Amino acid sequence: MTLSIMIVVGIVLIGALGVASRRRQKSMSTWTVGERSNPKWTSWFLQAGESLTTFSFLGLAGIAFGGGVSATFAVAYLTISWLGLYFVAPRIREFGQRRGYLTMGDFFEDRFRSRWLGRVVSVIGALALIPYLQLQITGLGLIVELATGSESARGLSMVIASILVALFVAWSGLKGIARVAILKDIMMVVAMVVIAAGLMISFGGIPEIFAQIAREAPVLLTMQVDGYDPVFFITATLVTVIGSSFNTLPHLWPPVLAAKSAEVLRSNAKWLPIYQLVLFLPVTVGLAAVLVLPEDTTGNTVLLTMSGVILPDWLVGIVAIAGASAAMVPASAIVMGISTLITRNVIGSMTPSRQMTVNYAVIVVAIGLALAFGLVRSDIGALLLLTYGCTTQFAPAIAIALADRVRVGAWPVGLSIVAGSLTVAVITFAGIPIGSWDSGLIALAPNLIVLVVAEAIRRARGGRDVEQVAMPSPDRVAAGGSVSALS
Amino acid sequence: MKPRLFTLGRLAIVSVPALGFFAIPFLPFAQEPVLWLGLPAVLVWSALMVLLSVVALQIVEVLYLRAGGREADQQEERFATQQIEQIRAARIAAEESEGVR
Repeated sequence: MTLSIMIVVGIVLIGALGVASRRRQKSMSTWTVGERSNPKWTSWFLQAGESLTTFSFLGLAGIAFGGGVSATFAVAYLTISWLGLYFVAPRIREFGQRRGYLTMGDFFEDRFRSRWLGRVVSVIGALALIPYLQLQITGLGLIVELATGSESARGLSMVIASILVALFVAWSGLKGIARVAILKDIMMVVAMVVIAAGLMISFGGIPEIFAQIAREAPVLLTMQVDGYDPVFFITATLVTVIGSSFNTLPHLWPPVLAAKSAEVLRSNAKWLPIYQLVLFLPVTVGLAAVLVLPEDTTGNTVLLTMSGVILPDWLVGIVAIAGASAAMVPASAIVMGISTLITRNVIGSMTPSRQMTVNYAVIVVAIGLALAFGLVRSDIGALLLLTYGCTTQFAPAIAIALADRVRVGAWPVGLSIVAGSLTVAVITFAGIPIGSWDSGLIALAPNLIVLVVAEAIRRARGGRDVEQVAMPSPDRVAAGGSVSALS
Repeated sequence: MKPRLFTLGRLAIVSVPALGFFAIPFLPFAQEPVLWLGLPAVLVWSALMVLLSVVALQIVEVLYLRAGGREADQQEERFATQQIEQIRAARIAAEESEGVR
C-alpha cells in the first residue's frame, strides 16, 4: 500500500512539474514549438526522449532475456540514427523556419505543393501514433502493477497519468514536455545506476554475471538464438535507421523545429550517441535475469521483477516512478504530434482561438482512446508494428523533399506512401508469416516501385519538377508585403 | 554561397561506424560465446562503435566548419516566432491564390 501511494504521488509530482507554468500557451505556434529558440540542453532532453522510453525499461531487458546480446540492435539503430539526423535535422529546421512549418504535414503540404498530400500523411501519421500512445499508457500501468503487485493500482495510475498528461500538454505545450523530459532522463539514469549497483552487489560484480552466463546459457552471448538471428538484427536495425534518420515519426518534429539554430541540432546529434551507452544496463539486467528468473517469465516483466529481487521496496518505488516518467514524456509528445496533425493539417482553416479549442478536444479524444484500449487490455500493442512500419513509408518522400528542388510530384509520392502503408497493414492484420523480417522494410519495396512507376507516368504526361510557391523575406512580410508582391 | 553539410565524403566518414554495427552478426565473436575483459564481445564492440560514431561526427563537424560552416552559422537567419507565423500565412495565401489549396 505504501509503495502504491509513493508511486501515485511520484506520478502526480511529474504531472505537476509539467503544468508548473503561470501562463497557459494560447497560440498554436508557441504551444507547439515555443519561440523556436530552444538552447542545446532543452533540445537535448527533448530529442533524447526516444532513447529512454518504456521500451528501454520493459522491452529491452525482455529481449535480452529471450534473445541475449541481439538486444544490442537497439543501441545500433539509435546510434546510427544520430549519424543520419546530423545531416537531416538541420535541413528540416531550415525549411521549417523559412516556410513556417509546425508539423510534418506542413512539410509535405508545402514541399510537394499539395494540400491533400499533407492531409493523407497527417491521417496516416496520427493513426499510426495511437498504438504507440496506448503502449506508453499500458506500459506505465504494467510498471506500477509489477512494482506494487496491485491490479487496482495499475488502473488508477493509468487514469491519473493520462489525465495529468492531457492537462500539462494542453496547458504548457512543448515547454511543459521539456521540463518533464529533463526530470525523466535524470530519473531514468539514476534508476539504471541503482539497478546496476544492485546487480553488482548481488552477483559480486558484472563480469561474474557474464562468466556465469557463459557457463549456463552460452548461446545468449552469440547472435544464434532462435528468432533473434542475424536476419532479425539486420532488418530490425535497418528499418528503424531508415525511419529515424529521416525523422518519420511525426511527434519528433516539434523538438527539431523548435531548436534555436542548426548548430544546436548538429551539436546534439554529435553527442547523443553517447546516451545510448545507458541502454547496456537494461540489456545486462535481462541477461542476468536468465540466472535468477524462471525460463517462462514474460519478457516485459523481467526488469521490474529483477528489481524486486535485488532491491529493497523503497528503491523499487523509485525505479517504478522513473519508469512512469519514461511513459509520460513520450505519451505527451505523441499526443501533441497527433493533435497538431489533426488540427493543422487534416481539419485546417480555422480562427486561431477555435484552432486551440479543437486542438484540446483532439488531445482528450486521443488520450481517452489510448486509455480505454489500455484499461480493457486490448492488445493493440501488437499494432505497434503499424506505427513504425507505416511511418517508415514516409522516408523516401522526406528524402526527396529535402533536396533544393523537389523533382517528384505529389501524386507519385502519395500513391507510394499509401501502397507501402497498405502493405504493412495487410501483413499485420492478415498475419502473413515473414520470419524475422520487418514488415516496414518489406513494404518499402512496393513503396519504391509505385513511386518510380507513377513518377515515370507523370513525366511521360508532361509533369515537371515541383515549383515551390514563392516566398517573401520575413522583413517584407512584417512590412505588410502583399501576396502578389511576393511572387 | 552557403556550404553544403551533406557531401559524399562526409557520408563515407559516418558510414564507417554504421557498417561496424551492421557487420556485428557476421563477425567471429558473434558466433561464439566470447568475453572481452569479462564482458560479452558483442557488447564491447557495440560500445566501441558508439564511441566511433561520436568521433566520426566530430570529424565531419570540423570539416564542415572549415569549409565555411562557421561563417554560415554566424550568418544564419533566425526569425522571430511572429515573423514565421506571418511567413506561413503568406505562404498559405499564395498557395490559395495559385489554386494549390
